[in-house]
Parts: sequence; C-alpha cells; structure tokens
Amino acid sequence: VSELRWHPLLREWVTVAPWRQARTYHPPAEFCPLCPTRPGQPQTEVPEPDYHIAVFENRFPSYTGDQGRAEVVCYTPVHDSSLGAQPLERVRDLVEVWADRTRELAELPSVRYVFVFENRGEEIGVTLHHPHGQVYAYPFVPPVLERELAASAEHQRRSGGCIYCEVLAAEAGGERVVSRDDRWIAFVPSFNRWPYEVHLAPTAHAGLLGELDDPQAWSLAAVLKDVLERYDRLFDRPLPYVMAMHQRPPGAGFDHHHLHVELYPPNRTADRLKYLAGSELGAGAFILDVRAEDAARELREA
Amino acid sequence: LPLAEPAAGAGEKQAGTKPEERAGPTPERLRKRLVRKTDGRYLILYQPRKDSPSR
Repeated sequence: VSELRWHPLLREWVTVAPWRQARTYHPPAEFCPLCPTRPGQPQTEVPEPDYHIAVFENRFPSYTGDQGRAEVVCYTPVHDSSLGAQPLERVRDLVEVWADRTRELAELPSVRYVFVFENRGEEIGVTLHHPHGQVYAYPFVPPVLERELAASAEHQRRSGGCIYCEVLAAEAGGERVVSRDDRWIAFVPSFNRWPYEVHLAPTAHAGLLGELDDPQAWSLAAVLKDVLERYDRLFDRPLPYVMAMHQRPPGAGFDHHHLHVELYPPNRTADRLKYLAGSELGAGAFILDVRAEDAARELREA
Repeated sequence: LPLAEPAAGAGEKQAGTKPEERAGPTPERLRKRLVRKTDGRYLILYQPRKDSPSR
C-alpha cells in the first residue's frame, strides 16, 4: 500500500506510491490497455470483445486494499473520442456509474472521501488517450474538500443557509452563466482561479450524485455535455481540462455541502497555458489574467 | 503537539453513520457484471438495462 506522510506545516497528507513511476506511458493506439480485447491480440484491461462502460482497479493504484481504491472508468470502447462527444444517453449512463461507484466505495471502512474526476489532454499529464476518468477513494478528506466543507459549515452556522445555494442565486441569469436548464446551471464563478474554469451545480440543494432524481441526472448529463462541446469549439481544438466532482463525504453531518462539478482547462489562449508558478504554488495565491465575465461570454458564443 | 498527525482512515466515520444511511438506490439504467481478473483485480462491466423506465 501507499505510504501516507503528514505535512505538519500545511496539515495535510502526502501520498507516496513509488510503483506509479512504472505506469503505462503514451502507448501506441494498437496497444491501448483501455480498448476492448481484439481477437488474436494481447489481452487489455478489459478482456471482452466489446463493452458499454467498464470500471476496473488501477494497475498502478494510489490507494488499494484496506487503504482505499483507485479505479479507472472507461467511458466508451471507442479509442478516438471524448466525454463531450458521447451521445447524451451514454453521459446519462455515466452519471449512474459515477453515483454507483461513489456509493459502493463509500462503504469501505477506511474510506473518508470518494472523488470522481477526469484528466484530459497531454497538457494535464494524461498518459492514456482512450476516453476515461478515475475514481479515488481516499482514507482522508482531501484538503480542497476540507476547506470547502469548513466554509460551508461555518456559513450554515452563521446564517442557517447553504453558501453554494447563495452563489447560485447570485449567478443565475447573470453574465457569467455559460449554459443552463431548469435543474442544472453552468457558470464561470466570479472567484474563478483558471481562465475558463466552469462550475456546474444543481439548482436544488443536493450533496451526492446518488441523490439526484432521474430528471436531474438527465439535466446534469445535458449541461455537462454542452459545456464540454463548447470547450472544444472555443479554440477549435480538443481543450484539455481537469474535471472534479465535489460530492459530500460519506457519513452524517455534511448536509451543508452542495454537490457541484468543477472544470479547469489550463489554457489561457488557444496555444498558451496558465502555469502554476511562484504565486500560485509558492504562496497559494492565484493571479488571473482573464475576467470571468469575458470567459463566460466567449464560452456562450462558442 | 504541532507535529501530531491525525489517523487517516482510522476509527469510525462521522457519528451516526450507518451503511443503510449511506446506501442509495441501486443502478436502474444499468446492470453490473463483476469479473475477477487473473491478477486479482476486479473489473465491473456496466450494460444498458433495456427495460429501464429511464431509457
């Protein structure tokens, strides 16, 4: 299992998993481990001639055994595709898979947080191009979620309300909205830290994907697909991004948390990236050179 | 104790947590098939459930 080391200055865990150095790195398409196993070809991670959606334990896990889990979610058997390019039905199916993995992994005794995410694009550090995401089941609540939970808990103590519901009320119908329907809204938050960062959230308070009813789940699929399609039209190229699903942790006492999805593309222009450098990495202070209102307008027009 | 570290994953989850409280509805649109791979890792294949009212 991984070694967990405590950072006493930042009060957070660092996970050491040296075996991940050997993980598969940019294999040619014909040796993609996430494709179905073709007749007469070497066995891939999915020893089936075809599949709809497949989930498996990462061969190079950050967490495993009694510590937690690291899973890979293959969105489609088609190698050259993307999440945003999937038919709406399949994105809706993925919402159900993400909810199911969250539910199942939260049952593990040591797990304190289940994190659904996707890294897309070489700029993000992706080593396998087949459309896929990941699920980490951590033995601790990760620092970003811990800070969000502390903020929403304190807000609820002070005002009795949900801080994210108030953010949504302020953003709805405003100039930072990118896409929306009656149940989900996508917007560039006024406090964005990446130029084309977008948040998606249900307009009704919910903490977990598994708490969404069928119309809400369809709505998430539609708004997510719409935003991802806009991303790829923005610069007329596949836009790299990190997708982070912020659900509440398992257990009681987190009803104040409002489920949302955060998307962070690293681009600040078509061919220039925003790097995390001195201020961001060394001091934790993000400096942004694109206004949220301008980014939202560009995405609406894309 | 500035260097004291919390016990990651140790002890109980938040008070009042019970599996039945965390468990939501089982998947409705999809059926699951569990495959055990030769190295012991699991693979879960999700297939469309044709009779799902949501489909």
